[in-house]
Amino acid sequence: MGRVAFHALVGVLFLFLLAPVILVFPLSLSADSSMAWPPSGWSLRWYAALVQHPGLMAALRNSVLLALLVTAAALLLAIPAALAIARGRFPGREALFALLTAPLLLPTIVLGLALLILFAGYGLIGTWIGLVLAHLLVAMPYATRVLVTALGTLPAGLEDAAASLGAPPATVFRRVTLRLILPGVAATCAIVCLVSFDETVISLFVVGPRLTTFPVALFRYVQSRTDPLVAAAAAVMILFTLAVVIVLDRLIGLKRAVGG
Amino acid sequence: MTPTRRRLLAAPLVLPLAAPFIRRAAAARTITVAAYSGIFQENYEPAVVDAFRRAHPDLEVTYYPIANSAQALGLVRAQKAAPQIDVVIMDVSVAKTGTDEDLFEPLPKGSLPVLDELTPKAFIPGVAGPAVLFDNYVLLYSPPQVKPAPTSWKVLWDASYDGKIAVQAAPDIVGIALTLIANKVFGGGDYHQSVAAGIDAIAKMAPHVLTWDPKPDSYTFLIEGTAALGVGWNARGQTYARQSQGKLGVAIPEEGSLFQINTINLVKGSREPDAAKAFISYALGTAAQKAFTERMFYGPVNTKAEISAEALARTAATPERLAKMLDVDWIAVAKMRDSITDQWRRKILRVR
Amino acid sequence: MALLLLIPAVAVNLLVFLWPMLNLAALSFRDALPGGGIGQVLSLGTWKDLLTDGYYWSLLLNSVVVSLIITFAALLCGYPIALFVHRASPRWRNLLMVACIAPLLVSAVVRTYGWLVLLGDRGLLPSLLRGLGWARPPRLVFNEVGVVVALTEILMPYMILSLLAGFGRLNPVLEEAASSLGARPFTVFRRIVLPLTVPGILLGCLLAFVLAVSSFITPSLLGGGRVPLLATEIYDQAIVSLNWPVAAALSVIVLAVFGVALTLYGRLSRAEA
Repeated sequence: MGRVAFHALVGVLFLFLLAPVILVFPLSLSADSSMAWPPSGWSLRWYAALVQHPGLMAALRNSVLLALLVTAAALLLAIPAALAIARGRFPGREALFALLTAPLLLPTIVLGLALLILFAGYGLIGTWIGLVLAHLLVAMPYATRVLVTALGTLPAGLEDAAASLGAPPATVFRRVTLRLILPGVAATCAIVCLVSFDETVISLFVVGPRLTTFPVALFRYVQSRTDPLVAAAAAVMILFTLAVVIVLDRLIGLKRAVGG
Repeated sequence: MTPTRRRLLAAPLVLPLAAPFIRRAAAARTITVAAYSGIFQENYEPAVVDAFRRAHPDLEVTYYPIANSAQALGLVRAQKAAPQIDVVIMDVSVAKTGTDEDLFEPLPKGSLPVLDELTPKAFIPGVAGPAVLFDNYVLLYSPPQVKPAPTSWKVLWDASYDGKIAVQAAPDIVGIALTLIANKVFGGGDYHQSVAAGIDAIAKMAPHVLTWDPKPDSYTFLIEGTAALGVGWNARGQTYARQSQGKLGVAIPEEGSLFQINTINLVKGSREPDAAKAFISYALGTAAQKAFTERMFYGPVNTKAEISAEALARTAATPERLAKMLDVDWIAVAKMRDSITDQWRRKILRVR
Repeated sequence: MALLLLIPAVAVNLLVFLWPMLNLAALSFRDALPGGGIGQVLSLGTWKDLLTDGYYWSLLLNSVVVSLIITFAALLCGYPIALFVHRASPRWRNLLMVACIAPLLVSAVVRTYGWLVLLGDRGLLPSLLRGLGWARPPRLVFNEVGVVVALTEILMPYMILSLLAGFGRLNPVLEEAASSLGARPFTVFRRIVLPLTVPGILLGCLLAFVLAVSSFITPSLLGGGRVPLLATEIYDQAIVSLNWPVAAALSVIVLAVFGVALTLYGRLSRAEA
């Protein structure tokens, strides 16, 4: 196979890979009321329609808030757990780590159903508590994994040195450990935030009429209609994701964050 | 990390944490009304819900759009422990199932003053809520593509419309109704005994069907020219036909069609039963019935509503349309719905 | 001390993972009562109905076949990209990696919608085909074609990343040596490149297959109601029919498919190593 042919093939495959994401942007500027291609004109009307759509805007607010709540909760739970797993020496350490990261390996449709069945009996469907718990299910494995990796790459000597100089354990944690794992914590924040913000399938099972998330609202919207409003919403979603990545990059540098 | 940066990180974390509690404190009484999505919502919300909102500024009313009654039932069932929907509009056969499962609060004659104004046909034995809107089943066609206008349901089996048919599959009541019609048209006899002939006929039609899940709906597929034939409801069809200026035709074929009843139900365990009843009373009242029928041509249930003759002529309740209606016992169909849906899944949706 | 630190995380895990999952498995041993009720006694009724019903077997077969097609397509489309990225200079490599990962950050709902726009009857591709003089191009959405195309694209980033992770043993020196000895490019690929990249291929296929079997959003939006798969059936049974025992049993079947795929992967990668 000639080099030119190979490069052309790779180019076509990249186009295939990126086409649906790229296409969203021009389509969101369509002036038509259906998603026919090419649009007959250009306008910002669908962005205006998005901002005026009470259901989608409420869902967007919910999703942003939920992402932040889940991030905070995941950090509070995962930092101590990661410390114990990375530093502790006790039987069953591996098994506990496997248990904490196991939900990552299972299909979300099954996890969602399991939560629906349990939550329905306790009236947790469509509540903040229910949604936060459901998102923690997928967020915790990511948080634990990233933090354990971050802690594992730290020189343990620094903490021992601080302790031998007479610092109490809490001070060691606050002044030494926490500072050292801050990039890992920031990466966790970003990943958990994005995982929660994008999570669709599990949310689909646990949302309710009073509380729904943005991807679910979008899914329901695409199910019932296909006008360019979805493209505008999608563009907003992509920009939110990009913003999280850029903020992370500005704060600590992308490479350090993902441990590169 | 510098202190400034740390604060930058902390502020967005802490502020929203407090937000839900702040908003909860200020929240008014809210009720959620679940009803059909799409063109129904586009008209029902401004004509009825908004008017109710203006009359009750102390209440917050959420319109929760649902694709079909079967999904609405699933939703109400899953929330039995803690209902989030207070009022649900659904077709009578699904409402019967919901009533049997004790999901709805019965609203017999006399329980609300407005019920005295309704036609006797609005009270269906065995169903918790009264009828709110009447409709009938129709054949949809695209006049530019289907000439002359079809007079028989059998046009759906005409091979020249291959890939030009859009039908909403069961459990949507549109698919269930098509089963009953096909059963009659293809000599299946009494549907209480068996709908096998109907299922077989639709399975034969299946290879010609463009989609069993048209989005946003079959009407739009026809108006856009993507499909040429479909099935649906008179009120929606009439509304679209008027909007599209000749791109959609609505026909009641010579074999006859089905009358349809939409009921309004109060969900058992609603946290705001009084507000929910206020909404139901409003939806059944003369003002809402007049406004919505004149906007979307559903047959009214309130006999006191003074509706324009022009709008009434487009509803299901005209004598000439009523004369063409076949006998259908939706209450009996309620018991068959799951089995019909199951046969759709097994025998129809898999045929290519 | 260490165990104390673990208590909150493990408690949440038990609450939202272990308990619901065990509850789910247990539910498949109950009978569904008409109208969404659930029987109180343990029973094998649901399993018996499921396993003796040809419909569910064909559903399983359909799911597995469609997922295998998607896996194979993702491998075919992902392999050249991975090879290209692997061989690129470090500066280009980073940029190309971002291009490969970027779609992962975009919700599946959005990407599926993108495919609806591309493949839909009045979308970009059919318009293009019609412009080229094809009066009635084949239908690309609301059937298996649409689901396969879109899922292939959606799963490609996972495939590419897995392939790259397994490309470690690939050494340009070996390829050069082979070509300098007169091997034709295709022979070099077949005899040198392909065998060395088997670990990446296995990992990528496992991941793509597993994700395809459990994918729900794309089939339900692009399937037009006529691509019945295990995942969509689980959702329908759970949300519309409210037959939780059947949905639970189907979930257990999906988990079993996962188990088989994982075992197969373990066997193959051990045999290869």
